[in-house]
Amino acid sequence: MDASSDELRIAKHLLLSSPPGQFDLILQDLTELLSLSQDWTETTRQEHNSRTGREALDSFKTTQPENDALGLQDGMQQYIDQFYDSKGVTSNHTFSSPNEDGQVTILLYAERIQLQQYHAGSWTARYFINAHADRNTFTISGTIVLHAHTFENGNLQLKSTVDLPSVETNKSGIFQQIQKWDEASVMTLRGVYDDMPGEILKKLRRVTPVTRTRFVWNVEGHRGIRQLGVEVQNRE
Amino acid sequence: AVDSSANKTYILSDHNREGDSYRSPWSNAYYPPIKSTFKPSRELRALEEQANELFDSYCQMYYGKDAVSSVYLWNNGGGVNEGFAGCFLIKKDIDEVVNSIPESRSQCGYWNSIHVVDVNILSGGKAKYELSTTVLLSIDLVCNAKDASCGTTKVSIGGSLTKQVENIHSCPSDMSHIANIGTMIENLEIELRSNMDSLYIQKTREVIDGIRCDSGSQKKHGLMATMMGSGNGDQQNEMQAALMARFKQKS
Repeated sequence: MDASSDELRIAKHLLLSSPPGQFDLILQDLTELLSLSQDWTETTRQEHNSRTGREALDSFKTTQPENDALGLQDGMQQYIDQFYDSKGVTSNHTFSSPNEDGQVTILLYAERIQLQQYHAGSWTARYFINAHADRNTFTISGTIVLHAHTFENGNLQLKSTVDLPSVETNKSGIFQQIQKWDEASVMTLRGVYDDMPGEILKKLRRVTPVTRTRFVWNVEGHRGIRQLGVEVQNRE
Repeated sequence: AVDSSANKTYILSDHNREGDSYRSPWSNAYYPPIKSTFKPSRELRALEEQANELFDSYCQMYYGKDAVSSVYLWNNGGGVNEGFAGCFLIKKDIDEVVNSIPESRSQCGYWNSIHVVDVNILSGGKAKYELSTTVLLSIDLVCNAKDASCGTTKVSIGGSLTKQVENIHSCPSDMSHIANIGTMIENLEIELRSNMDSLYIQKTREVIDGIRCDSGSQKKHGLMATMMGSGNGDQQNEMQAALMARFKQKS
């Protein structure tokens, strides 16, 4: 029996929310529960790849020379080779053809999938470039999405999203700005990691109570303390 | 939910639910009111009252006055001396106002602890406690960069950790059950909090660092990176410096 529309809606939500590199694992689990057609699966897969930027890894989407109207392809390839070519990383980029406003979109996608070590991550950057009339000044903006998943004896995901504001620069400054943005997004995350045990987690749960000693599990003792507190408040 | 008779909040869960009503651990009454016999025995209710009082103090000391705790106990077919089960719940929420001040950060999210314990009474004044704990964590941060041209970063961290432990402790009185369970819960929460940061959240740092290298540093130290696997750049640099120092000593 085919899956109902509600079941398909939930299945689609689960697939589109899948962590990096795990679309097929989740699909495998879903097909054991629901009857999913090939067409529906492929449509969902394409939507997932489009949203996450993973479509950049499809070989047939490798940049065609006619899409490199701004002459940036070589520079982008050098940039990827320098920063996204570590062991275990799969990366690629694409250039869109100019839209009706002349805007070109550079999609940079990199992933490192290590499911046997119970972790996976992806980096998706979209840079929107508009050339001014003089063809020497450009306005660039963009977004960066980082997604990490670790699941050894637990399950935790981190997702970082940056909306990059418009900046004007010349052609030689485009990759400098991209590098500045990429490094800033990493530095922001590192600040979060550095503050995690002391400041961020502490707002949720302290490492030790204010007394700096373990809790004493004695109801009479704590009743006495509470009573003292009430008496002090009443006197004030 | 709020127990209007006791003027205290309590947590809604499947362990205190009957139909659409939930039993308050403070007044032992169901809200909305229903006629229900699904309540702990008088003896167990006395233990439950003290457990809630003590766990509330524990919750405030570790989580602050705005956190909510609830303890629900249920009989395993007999009296306290024949064993019982229970859940100890904590709910802590954060909701800070988002602002646009450079280099500032606002935080929203929650920490939910769910501890389910099964107590089996053994001979010789001892009991076996089987504790299963799940911590659900959500952290949403809005980070404003120092340089406005670098935009605002939204970081979402979410996940869960589960662990089981079992211990045998002496239990000379009914109240000692609460102390035994409470100590196990406290130890497990400390361990899970530590693991949440050092093992899981910091692991995502390694994952991100493994995708994008800083100024080609991983390529320069390519051999070290291969030898050390997926360790972070700082560890690799420290170990490399130590190895170079040893080579120099030997030569």
